[in-house]
Amino acid sequence: MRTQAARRRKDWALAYVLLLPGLAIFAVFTFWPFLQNFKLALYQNPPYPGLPSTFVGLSQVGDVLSSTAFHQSLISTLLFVLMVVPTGLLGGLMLALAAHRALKGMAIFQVIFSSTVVSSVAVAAVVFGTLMDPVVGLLPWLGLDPHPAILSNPTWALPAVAIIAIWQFLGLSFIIMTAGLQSLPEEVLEAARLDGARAPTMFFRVTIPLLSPTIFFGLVVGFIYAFQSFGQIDILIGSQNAEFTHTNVLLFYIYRALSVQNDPGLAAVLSIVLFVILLGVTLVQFRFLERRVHYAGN
Amino acid sequence: MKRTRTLAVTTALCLGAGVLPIAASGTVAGAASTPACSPKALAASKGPVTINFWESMPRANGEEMVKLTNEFNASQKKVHVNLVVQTTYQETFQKYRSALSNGQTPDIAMLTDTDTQAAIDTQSFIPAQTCMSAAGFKTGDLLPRALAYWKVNKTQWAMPFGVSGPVLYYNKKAFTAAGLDPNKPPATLAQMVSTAKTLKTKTGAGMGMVLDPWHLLTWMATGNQTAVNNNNGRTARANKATFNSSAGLAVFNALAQMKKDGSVQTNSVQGAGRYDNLLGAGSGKFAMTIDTSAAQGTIQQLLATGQYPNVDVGVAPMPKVFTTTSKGGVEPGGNGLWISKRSTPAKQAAAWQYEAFLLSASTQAAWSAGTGYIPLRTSAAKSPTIQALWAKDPGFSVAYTQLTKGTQDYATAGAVIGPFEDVNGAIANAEASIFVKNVAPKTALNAAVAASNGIIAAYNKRLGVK
Repeated sequence: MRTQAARRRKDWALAYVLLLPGLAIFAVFTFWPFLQNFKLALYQNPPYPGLPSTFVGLSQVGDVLSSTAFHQSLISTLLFVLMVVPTGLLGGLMLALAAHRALKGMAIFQVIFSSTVVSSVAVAAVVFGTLMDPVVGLLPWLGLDPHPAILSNPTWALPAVAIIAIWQFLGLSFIIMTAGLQSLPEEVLEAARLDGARAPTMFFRVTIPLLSPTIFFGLVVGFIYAFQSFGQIDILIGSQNAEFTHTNVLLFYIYRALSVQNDPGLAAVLSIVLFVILLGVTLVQFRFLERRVHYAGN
Repeated sequence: MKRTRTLAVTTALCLGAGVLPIAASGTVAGAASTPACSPKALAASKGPVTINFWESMPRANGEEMVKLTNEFNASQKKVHVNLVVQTTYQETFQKYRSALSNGQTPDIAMLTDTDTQAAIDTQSFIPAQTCMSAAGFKTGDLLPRALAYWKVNKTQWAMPFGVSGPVLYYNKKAFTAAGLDPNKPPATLAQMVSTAKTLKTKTGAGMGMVLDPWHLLTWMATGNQTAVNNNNGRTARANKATFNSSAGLAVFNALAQMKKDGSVQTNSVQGAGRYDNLLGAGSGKFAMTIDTSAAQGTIQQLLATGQYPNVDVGVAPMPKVFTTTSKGGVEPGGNGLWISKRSTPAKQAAAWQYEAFLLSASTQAAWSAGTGYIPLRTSAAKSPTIQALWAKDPGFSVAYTQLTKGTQDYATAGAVIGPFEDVNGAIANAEASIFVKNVAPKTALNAAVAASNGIIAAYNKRLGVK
């Protein structure tokens, strides 16, 4: 018994030694800045480096949290997530079901469906931006002439960038769903089939429950993906326009606070908010959704 | 499946924490015992003095910049200018701000007009005035309006270099088709509104309009009114927006009227649709638009390809907000050259020697002919190069002429505002609300002023000033 315990301790020690380089990198580049960030949130910074900062304590946090810009940003973020995540997951599932057949040439479709995951945000944004352009784009050809143009319209700009995000998320969602479908236990499906279950019953009563861990995983990844969308907005909208106030999602707001307003204090507060939201969403998802999820091995 | 779960948690936490790291700031000291920008320091230095110049001129203009700089470097042995190409004005200033904390600041920076007050507030530049006095430079025949834009509190902070102004572009063929005189473009805002309506009814092509706050500010200047208090922020720091005066209201009313007439389509000044007003003029969707005079070179290039047989472009001065005889004039736009406070006096003097070369009559003539920017000297405008260009294409003279006309005061010098980009955003937001939500012009204008006041107050608070 004693030798076993000693060996165990030795294993643990080795494990930590092996983890050390990784932990060191995390400590320097993630945990240390993470802690520094809380300090930054308490200081009011001048608009330019080199000038003194003043300690303002929690008042800055209160100012930011009560500002209309922050509320508008939260609403935009929420709407954006609601537009992107369910549509992206459902679309990915549909594509995965369509491609989950042993037909000749299906591999080509699988490649096509998953390809959006490797396309760059910048390229996708430019392509969609051109398609949506009312002068040189697809719309005049279709006989449509919305005014103001979709991307210059405060009402439509957010759905427009959401469409690009959905399109990009489809690839990842498709891969996740396909992997899930391929790992479904064949015997369960076969048993259901032998019991005379029809296609809709099979899908809703057997496939979906068996697929629930995958969908759940997709949900978590989708949330994070949507919360961190940035490129499309930066490229297609910019920050000096009217529609910008409606596409100023949290991550873009952080970027703008830093690079345009040069306000690390504001950016720090917003970063903490984003962190808390993502942590909260993840915890809620695990606490409540997990109960409804069926894990095959458990 | 357990692994999937752990993976999800880890991914969530790592990505969540990953957005947090934020850059910290620091200070760099730059002390000098010899007077700033001293020509003696340059004369005393051994070997060539190399200076770094951050510039953000794209394509053809960038090539012209390289050509002129090579010419300067070859013309003497004391100073060597190293061009460092940045992408856009916005990115140049962002990069400059980060450079302030890591110490890698350039000796000269090319900054856009709206960064003027911000550049002063960084406390990292010396006024060009210092170099002018040290070198005994005479502003002589440099255009007073162009100099005035970069003059704050009676100090010449930077030297104008690539200067342009908004002008009216119109399709002469569409004017003829609509029964209008192609040689009589609208000269006032009211005429512009009625012309757009006529064009739309008769030809189907109305006006394309980029919602650029610069245009509103220029209209304020043509009405001889300021956009912010304390003489446009030029005698003391501005703390209130004043553009909800009669000129501002006239502009917003005109926008609302054109929206009502259905004679205008707008696009944003940033992002995907930035050039829709110009592209639409090419495709026949619009018969008139306002844009920077610096776009003329590109427009002529495109027209020369023969792609647009239905376009014969005319260039006219920016229509005046009230009447053609009212006081006021256009304000300049473009970029200025700033000399770093952190560079040694020898480098500052070297930077000035280069700037003086760029502002010389012969360089200005070459620069203007090669880029379409306004020649900044009367003598450059009178040079054979420029006169030949203007004779061939009179459109190129419009921006110069309009900048030399009208009253010379704080209103026509234009506004200086620290958080200019945010104020511009508030103006664009208000203008768009007229088109999207049918907001009454006066309400929209007052909302823009209120938002601007908040933005300016927050900036001043961060800076610790009133």
